[in-house]
Amino acid sequence: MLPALFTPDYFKQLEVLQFKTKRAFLGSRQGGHISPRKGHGIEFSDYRKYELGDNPRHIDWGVYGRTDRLYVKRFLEEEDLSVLVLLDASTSMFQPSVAAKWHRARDVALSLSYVALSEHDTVQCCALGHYYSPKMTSLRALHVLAQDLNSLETKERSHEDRAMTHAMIQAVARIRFPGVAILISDCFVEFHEFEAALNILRAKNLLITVVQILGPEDLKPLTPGESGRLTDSESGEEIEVAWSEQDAKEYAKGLEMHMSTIKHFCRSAGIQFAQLLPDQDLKDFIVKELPTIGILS
Amino acid sequence: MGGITFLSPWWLVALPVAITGLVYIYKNRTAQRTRVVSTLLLLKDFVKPALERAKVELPLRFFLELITLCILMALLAGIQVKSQGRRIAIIIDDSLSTRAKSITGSPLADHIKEQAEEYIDSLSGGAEIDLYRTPGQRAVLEHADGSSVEDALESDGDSRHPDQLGGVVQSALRKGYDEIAVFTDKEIQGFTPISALQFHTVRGQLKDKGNISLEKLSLYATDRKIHGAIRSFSELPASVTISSPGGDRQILKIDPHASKEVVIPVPQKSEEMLPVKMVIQEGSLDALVEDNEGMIASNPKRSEVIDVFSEPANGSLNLSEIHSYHFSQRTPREYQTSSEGAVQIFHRFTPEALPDSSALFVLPGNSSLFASKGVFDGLTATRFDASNPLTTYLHVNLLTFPQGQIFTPLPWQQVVISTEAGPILLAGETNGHRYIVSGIELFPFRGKESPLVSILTLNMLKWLKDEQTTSDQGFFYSEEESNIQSNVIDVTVFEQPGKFETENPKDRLRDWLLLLILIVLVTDLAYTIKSKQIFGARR
Repeated sequence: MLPALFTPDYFKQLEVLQFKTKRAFLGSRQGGHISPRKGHGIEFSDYRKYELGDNPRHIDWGVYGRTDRLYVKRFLEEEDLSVLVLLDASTSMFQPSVAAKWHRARDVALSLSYVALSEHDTVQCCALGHYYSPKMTSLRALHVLAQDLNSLETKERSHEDRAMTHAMIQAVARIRFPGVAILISDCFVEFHEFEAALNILRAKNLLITVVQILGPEDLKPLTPGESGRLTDSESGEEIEVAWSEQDAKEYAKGLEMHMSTIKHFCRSAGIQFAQLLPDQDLKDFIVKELPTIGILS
Repeated sequence: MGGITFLSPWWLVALPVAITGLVYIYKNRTAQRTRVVSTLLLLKDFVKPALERAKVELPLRFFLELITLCILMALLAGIQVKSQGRRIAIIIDDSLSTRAKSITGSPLADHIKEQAEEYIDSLSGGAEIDLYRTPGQRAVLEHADGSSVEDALESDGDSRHPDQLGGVVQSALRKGYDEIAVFTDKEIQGFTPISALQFHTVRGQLKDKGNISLEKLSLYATDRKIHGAIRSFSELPASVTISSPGGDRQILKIDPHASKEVVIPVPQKSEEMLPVKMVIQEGSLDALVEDNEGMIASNPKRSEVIDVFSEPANGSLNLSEIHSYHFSQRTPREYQTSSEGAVQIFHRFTPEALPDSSALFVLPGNSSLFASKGVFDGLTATRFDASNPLTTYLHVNLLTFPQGQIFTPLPWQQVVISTEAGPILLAGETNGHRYIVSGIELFPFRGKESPLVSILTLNMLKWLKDEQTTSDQGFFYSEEESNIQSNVIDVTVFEQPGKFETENPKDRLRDWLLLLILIVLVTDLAYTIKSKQIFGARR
């Protein structure tokens, strides 16, 4: 069952959106995106000399009249786009509460999947390390996807599940045609691991988009004056801290530096980057911010 | 519950509980503040070094010591709790004299019972009461709480047995009761106050009817005379005639509330059982006629002479102070192997072979008969066989001897008293005779001036003469016991001289030993905790 966010009005808003691609990608079937493959689309591509066996209906008779040579008009094929939605399903996405990050990440994934499916694109959704959906071409598959993603909330996780690169290799192994890849994550991994994971996507010649989901506690883990033991949800590592005002400021600086490192890498690697903050409305993020950034149109 | 001391039981019980609680609280001090965060990626730099702690891996020894500590504390607490319960002995004098009627017309025995019941009612809870009834019943009659003891009080005893109140008191004292309450109609004489012992007497307030009793008959072997005493509880003077078959008849006057000594010579060759009869001219003055006749038994064994072999240079052994026996002091040269004496004493002299009779060897020197380790100075008795008849009435632990000879016991010898250097007093039977080897100088005999050694000497003589030395006899210095019902009880409680204490030093030693182990354990645990930085931060 789809989350409550998906109302008929929201569906209408999503239906007018589509993925914006700067490059043409080969598709597996006819769709709404221009493919580099020449075919029977409506957009003119180029001419080539008539060869035996070509359909005489494709001969440009105007050119023949001017040059007394037979040329055939060629058109760009319009094919579907392969959209790969990658959800970070590590334990950190479920902490401190499921609603803080995971539900928002799930909703973003479902929204983008709906946008793609409504444009007859092919969608594959992967919860990294835990779930790999089949290729979805129908909107009806969205309900199944929602159900599968919800089932992940109760799934037990071990500390060994947290290797993002390994999960990423498993996910991209299923791609036949390059297309759009959207990574939805909190990006709280060591930068070298994050870089390695994205490089795996880059190697597949994908148009990559990173959507960062932040929870309230990612911005302010502790209130000044508070002290106690903090346990890493992924590694189980424990530390004791005594949080001060100064620490809060330094943490904010550290977070900003981490983000800027990721953004700088994304910019230099041609990866689109979007950030969903805790107080930000998810509908506005999908409908307004993503088109503004250039991910959707 | 006692005062607030470290050995107070409830505190000891609370201590491990408190320690466990404190450790639990400490270990869980941050449990409520533990929070799971998505990642520590950006938080690792904010760890406060002062709070960072090493992973504590406590050694097995720590837990073993902790368990031992808890067991020790529980043990110590248990001991203390047990010692908190008061053990009370109630001794009811149910002798013939208690049949005398009081001013109320009822026998004194009834008043004694009433007094005992009042005493039991006044006891606070938690006391264990052992009821003794004398004469006749020496063992614990009842061992229970107050109500059942009161029921037992109602049953009648056998008053025809000899009066043994003194012996029962002595026996109860040895059993270490916290309190001994004696209910009697007799006056208490020669009583050395001990906190545990208290006498309740009904005489004086109740007995107004006159009674004249014949009491404390003794037969001295030295002069063959019956020494007796008459005691009047009457308000008027009376004329008394005392007679014994074969002896003189004596008529004497006795004043009100007075006592009078009487000596009746008896023939040298008289019957072993000598009845003594008392007749009061004014019959109305004597409410209790049962105590007018007594019987004294002469022990023929005691008339035998004990040969004592000692050099005259050793000085007088002062054997004349021992009235129970006849001694014949001789020199070692006069010793003959075939002696007719039943018992022989060898003082600082040892024959070449064991004599053909029971013998006491005092400081035998380097004799081939006994394996001597030599003579040592400043010895302290560390152990003694309390069940041995030679140590009856004695508690010789920590008794110091200025000088003593130490022996190695032979197979037939038992160690009676040991010192830190070795056995100092041995006894045993072989070849049908009893032999005692004493490394303690017993002579000269000082009687009451040196009670411990005197009692020991008399015990030895009694045992060698094959006399039953039991705890029933509380009057070691008396001669013969008469079977008459006495109106006066003579109780002598021997307090140990010098280093001896009324409290059992074994118990005190045990407590201090446990406390020492406890301190060592706690110190070691604290060291372990400190070295493992359980409570200290790693810098």
